[in-house]
Amino acid sequence: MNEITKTEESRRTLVPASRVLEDNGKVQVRLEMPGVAQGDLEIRVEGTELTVVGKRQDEATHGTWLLRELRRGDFRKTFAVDASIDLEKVDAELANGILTLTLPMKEAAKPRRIEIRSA
Amino acid sequence: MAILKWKRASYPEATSEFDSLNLLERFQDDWDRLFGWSRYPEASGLFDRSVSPSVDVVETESEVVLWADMPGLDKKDLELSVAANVLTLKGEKKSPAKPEKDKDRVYRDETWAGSFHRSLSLPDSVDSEKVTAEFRDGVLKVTLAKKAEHKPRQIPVAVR
Repeated sequence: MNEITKTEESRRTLVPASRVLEDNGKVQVRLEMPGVAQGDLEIRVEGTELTVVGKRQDEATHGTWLLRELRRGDFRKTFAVDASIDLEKVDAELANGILTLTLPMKEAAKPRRIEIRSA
Repeated sequence: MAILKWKRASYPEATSEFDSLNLLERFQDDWDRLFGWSRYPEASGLFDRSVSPSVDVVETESEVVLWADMPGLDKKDLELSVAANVLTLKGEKKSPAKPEKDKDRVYRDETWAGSFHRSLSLPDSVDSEKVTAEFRDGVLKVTLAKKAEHKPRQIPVAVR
C-alpha cells in the first residue's frame, strides 16, 4: 500500500529553481525553496563558491498517501562567484519560500563612463 | 519545488513511489530536467488553464491533509474553495520585478509565473465544513477533518 513508513535515510537533493539578474550594480539571485524555514537554511562562502543548503522539515509522519506528486527533498545549489562580487557584503532574505540573495559588485567592477577630452 | 505543470496522462493511477512505472516517469523527469527538456507543451494562450499545481495528499485516521508548494505567492494571491466535496485551488504567481534600468539584464530565469487552477474530489469521509488552511514558507497546507462517523471508534468490550 501507500502507507508512510519512515523518512527515507538518504534524502533526495533538489536544485532550487533560480532567477539571476543584474540590477543597479548588484547581482540578485532568487531561489525557490518552498517549505524551508529560516532556521533550516545555510548559506556558505568558501573561496569563490557560494553554497546554499535548505532542509525541508514539513513532512507527513504517518498516514496513507492519496496523491504524491511533490518532489520533496533538501535543496542545494552552488554558485561560482566572479571576482567582481564583494562576498563580504552578501545580503540574504527569506520570504514565502523564496530566498533572495543580493550580491553587491565591487566598485572597480561597476561600469564606468570615461569622459573624452576635446583636444 | 516550484508550481509545476502537472500532467500525467499515461499513468494517472501511479501514485506510489514504489510503482515501477512511476519510477520510470520520475527518472525521465530527472533526465529531462538535467538537459532542460520538457515533455509537456509550453503553457500559453488556451493551454494556460491546464497549469495546475502538484499536490501531496495524505489521509490519517482523523483527517486528510493536502500540501502544495507555492513559492513566492502571498496569502492574498490564493483562493481556496470547497463546494460539493470538490476542493478548488486557484491563484496567480506574479512574476518578480524586472531590473529598473534597460542595460541591466536577467542572466537566468528558471522560475515560472502565471495563473493556475486545480480541482480535487475529496473523499466522502471529509467534512467540508471543517477545513482549515495555513500558508507558511511558500507551502500551502490544507487540513480537512473527517466526519465523526468515519473516525475510528474504540468500542469497549465488557467482560462478564
